[in-house]
Amino acid sequence: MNPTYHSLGNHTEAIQIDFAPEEIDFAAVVDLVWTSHNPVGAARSSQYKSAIWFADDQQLAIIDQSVEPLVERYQRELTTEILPLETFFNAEDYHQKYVLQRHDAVMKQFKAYYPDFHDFVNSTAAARLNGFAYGSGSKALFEQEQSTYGFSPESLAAVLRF
Amino acid sequence: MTNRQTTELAAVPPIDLTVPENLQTATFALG
Repeated sequence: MNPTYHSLGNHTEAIQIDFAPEEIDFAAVVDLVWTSHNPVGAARSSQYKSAIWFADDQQLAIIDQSVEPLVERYQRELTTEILPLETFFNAEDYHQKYVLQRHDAVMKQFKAYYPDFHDFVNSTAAARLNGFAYGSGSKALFEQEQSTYGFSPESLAAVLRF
Repeated sequence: MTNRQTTELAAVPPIDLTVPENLQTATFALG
């Protein structure tokens, strides 16, 4: 049975991203993971722990290589767990692109693009806009790529927090 | 008579049309 927010068992809240290796390699993604949280923070519950899951031996080797300098720097073992990837369950729909879903006008247009909610969840435009709606990124970056979202500047303005 | 709605609406956002095929996956949690 799929875990849910109210019946999570020992599962962990995690994200899974697709990336283009010719644009950014796995080592660079791993570096972003290390710089985006405290890898020696106090161990937390299964729900909120920090972890990286490796999909294959190649990913494991890259992660292992990145750990050594961190241990050196912090002078202690990392609390972020390194685990083999098993089944990744999508969270319920209302958790997906959580901030973006609060913006009715843009969501109406996304629903027209993607009648199947799963396609919205996998949309790069939705992922980017959700980040900007949360306040991540910069105004300059947004202005550089806003024409690639397929929405009018007026409808996008309401989403932004810049 | 043309159907304005279907002629004006793109199938998907333009950025989603440019996603490469050979994607890899990364999975992590930042607790």
